[in-house]
This record gives sequence, structure tokens and C-alpha cells, in this order.
Amino acid sequence: MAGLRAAEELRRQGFDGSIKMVTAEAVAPYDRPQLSKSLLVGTTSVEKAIYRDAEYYNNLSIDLLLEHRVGSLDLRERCLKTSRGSVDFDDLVICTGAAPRRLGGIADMAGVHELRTLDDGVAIRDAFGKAPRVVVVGAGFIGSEVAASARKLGLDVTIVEASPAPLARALGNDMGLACAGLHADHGTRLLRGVSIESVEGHGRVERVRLTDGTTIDCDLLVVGIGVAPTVDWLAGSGLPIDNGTVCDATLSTPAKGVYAAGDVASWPNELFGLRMRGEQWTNAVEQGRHVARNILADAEEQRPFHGSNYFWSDQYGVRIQFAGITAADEIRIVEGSVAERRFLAWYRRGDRLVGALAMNEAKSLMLSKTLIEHRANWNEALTAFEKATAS
Amino acid sequence: MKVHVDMDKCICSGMCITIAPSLFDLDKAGRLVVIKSCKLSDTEQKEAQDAAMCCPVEAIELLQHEEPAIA
Ligand SMILES: Cc1cc2nc3c(=O)[nH]c(=O)nc-3n(C[C@H](O)[C@H](O)[C@H](O)COP(=O)(O)OP(=O)(O)OC[C@H]3O[C@@H](n4cnc5c(N)ncnc54)[C@H](O)[C@@H]3O)c2cc1C
Ligand code: SF4
Repeated sequence: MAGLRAAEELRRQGFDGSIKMVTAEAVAPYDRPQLSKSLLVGTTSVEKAIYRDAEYYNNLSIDLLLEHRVGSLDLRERCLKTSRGSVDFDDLVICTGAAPRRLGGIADMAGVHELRTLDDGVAIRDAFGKAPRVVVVGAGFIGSEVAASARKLGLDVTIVEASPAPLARALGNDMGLACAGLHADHGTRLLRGVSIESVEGHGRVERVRLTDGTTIDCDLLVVGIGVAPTVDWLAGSGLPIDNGTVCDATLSTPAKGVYAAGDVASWPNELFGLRMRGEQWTNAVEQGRHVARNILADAEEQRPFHGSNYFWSDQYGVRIQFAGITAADEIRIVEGSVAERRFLAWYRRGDRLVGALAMNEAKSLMLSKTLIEHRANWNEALTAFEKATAS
Repeated sequence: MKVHVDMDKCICSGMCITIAPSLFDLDKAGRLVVIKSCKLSDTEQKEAQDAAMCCPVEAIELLQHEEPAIA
């Protein structure tokens, strides 16, 4: 995603040099967020999930090199070694995203899937068609969305979550529980504080054994236990790697003319004074565009990237949205209530508003996002919010 | 330039209202309304392009030519 937006922004800013988009995939960039949502329930087709056709790339003179897996980066020769020969560059944007973590210690077995690529999405969608009993490992956003999509199709679904408090890392304890409450509302079993001991079956999954000794029969196991940045191909390149590609505030790596954007990029986010790595669509879009502008700018005009970490998730017809960070001293519901499944919660750190979580409150969330981006003082933000919502 | 939102695609995220507040808004029920779709100023055109690139579902379409006004 970051790669596509970087290329588009370069052209939009009038750059007329050569642009090559190198990808291991066999298809042009597609809408990853739909994979766990509309694709699984059949309201989006594969064709609709692919953003642009070949003609679009032709018109913008973007050379889309499909099925070119990059094996390594040679900074001295300034080229990428791919599965189909080498590709030279003057400037490079690293946006290889992230890949799902796999369940440790289980043999390859039919009926076990992660979800990151279009092929993964199609495989799970097709498996859903056979009325399977579904077990989802991980009650994070992707696991929760898969479970919600399965329930929408009337399937029997159990989520196995290792932590007693789902989404605690992403949202904080209470708010994580508030979101997890949606599963019970819609007939999804959520088991907390247990994990998978083993996966059993003859060539294909038949049941999972949990760490508390119980077993669950199932025909489909979807694993959503988080992602890790795709940096294997950068080993030996000399670039620093630490939870992603280490960049400065402008998203530049220590190598001249080499940038990173999207899920793979770790950068000091001056908005919160924290080194961060995003795993959200909007972050990828904004960083891709930001890097494009920095590539075209002079050395002294390199701008730092400030990200507000926005994401959304759709589960059971409920829209969850978040902006900011959750390392907070206080979380306060400022509108609605958890019970109504319609609320806005704010996260305070010191005297600043640093985060906002909403269920079915898009407008208030967007207002909060703007306040967070302006580093709003907590009390002033409360007053501004009251005024805005009163009108 | 003319702004069109494909309402079948729009998920009412509200992303566009923060980028181009003079063009888009969410109503009380949380549905997207296009406040202004043609005769955009230069700033509004730029904001409309930014909004289109940031819309999570690419629902915002920008038509390069305004339809001729019906006399
Ligand atoms: C199922 C699902 C649902 C999601 N839902 C949401 C959501 O609701 N909201 C939200 O904000 N975010 C969501 N996300 C996250 C969002 O999709 C990602 O943050 C975003 O796609 C990141 O963009 P990116 O460009 O960094 O990486 P990617 O989109 O992953 O692109 C990286 C590309 O690099 C390629 N690549 C990797 N290594 C190599 C190599 N060595 N050689 C060549 N090519 C390589 C990959 O094949 C891939 O095509 C979701 C993700 C998934 C998987
Ligand atoms: S950004 Fe896109 S999806 Fe969100 S409200 Fe605007 S048009 Fe709809």
C-alpha cells in the first residue's frame, strides 16, 4: 500500500523519471483490509479488491514488476537482487510490510490458514463455503474480523485468546474487554487465557488441543496472532534493523536516498515522542506519500513524519476506530457508553489528550483525531469537544 | 474538477471530513454528505485529491471535467 501511494504521489508532484514497483506478488496491489471483511462474506470480489488495472500503471508510466521476489539489497551497487534479475535504483523506498506470525510447533496441515494475502483471503472464503466449524487463534483485530465474518455466514466459531485481556496491548485492558464484548453479543465463543497446545488431524485439521487440556473439534483454523515486519531480505545490507527498518524522523534510513514506509518502518514519531512502527492502512498511505515528497525535496527541506496512528475495524456491523496511543494515565468515556456499543473514550497522558477510541461514533472520533494531531491539552480538548458536539 | 462519492463503497469512516472539511461532512446518523462537489477552489481541489488518496475504501472519485451547467 505504501509503495502504491509513494509512486502515485511522485507522479502527482510532477516527477517524470522512471518508477519501478517491485513485488513478490502475482497481482497488482489490492485492498488488504477488505480481506477479513467483505471478501470473506462475499460482498467484495477478487476483481474489486484489486485497486488498479494494468492500464492505470501504464498511464502513469509506473513499471509494475510482479513476481519479482527481492532476495537482497546491495547498497554499493545500488541495486536489488530479485528472483528475476537485478533492478537498479537511485532512490529506494522500502515497503515490504509485515507477515503473519505462525503458530509454533505445528506440522503443515490442510485447513490451517493465516490471513495476509489475497490468496489467503480466497482460501478462507472458499473454506467458509463448506460450512466448517471454525477456530480462530487470537482475538486481535484481524482474528476478530474473521470471526465476525464467519458468524455473519452463520458458522460456528470459537476464538482462542492467550491473554486474559484481549486487545490489551492495542487498546488498554478495559477498552480491550469492551471490544471483545462484541463476540458474546453475536454468538461467538471467546476463550481467554488459554492457547493452542497442539493441532491434531490426519493431513488436515480435525481438532485443536488447548493448554487447559480441553479439545475443540474444527475443520478450519485461522491464525491471527500478529505480524512481524518483513526484513529478512535486508540482512547483510548493512541497514540497521530493530523491529523493522530503523529510520530517522523523516523516514530516511542511514543510507542516502533509501527510505522506508508502512508496516516495515520504525521511526521516532515526534507527535508522541516515541519510536513507533505502524500496522495500519492509513499509516502506510501517509508514510508512502510523505516519503515521495521527501525524495523530491532538497536535503535541508526533509520533513519529519508525524503520524496519529489511525485505524478502523469492522466487526458485526460495528465500526471501531482509534487514533493516537494508549500509554495513558486515564481513560475516560466522554460520549455514549460501552453498554450501548456506541461510545467515545479518550486517553490522557499527563495533561495531554493522546488517544481516542470510538465505537460507532465516526464524527466524534475524527474530531478527536484532529485534536490529538494538534497536541491538545486535556482540559482544553474537553471544552472544545463539548462546544463542537453541542452545536 | 467534480467530486463524486460512491455510496456503495463509502464506509462512513469520516477520514475525508478531516482533510477537506468544506467538501465533506457526516450527518447526525453518521452518514457521509457531500457539501460541495463542484466549482472547487484550488485549495479545495488539492484537499479533494488528498481525501481521495486517504479514503480507506477509495470511494471518492474525482472527475476531471465539470459537467457543463444546464442552461
Ligand atoms: C486481513 C487484514 C485486514 C486489515 N484490516 C485493516 C483495517 O481494518 N484497518 C487498518 O488500518 N489496517 C488494516 N490492515 C493493515 C493494513 O492492511 C496494513 O497496515 C497495510 O497493508 C500496510 O501496507 P504496507 O505497504 O506497509 O505493506 P503491505 O500492504 O503488506 O505490502 C507489502 C508488499 O511487499 C511485498 N513483499 C514483501 N517482501 C518482499 C520481497 N522480499 N520482495 C518483493 N516483495 C516483497 C509483499 O508481498 C506485499 O505485497 C489489515 C491487514 C490485513 C492483512
Ligand atoms: S473517507 Fe471515504 S469511506 Fe470515509 S467517509 Fe469519506 S468517502 Fe466515506
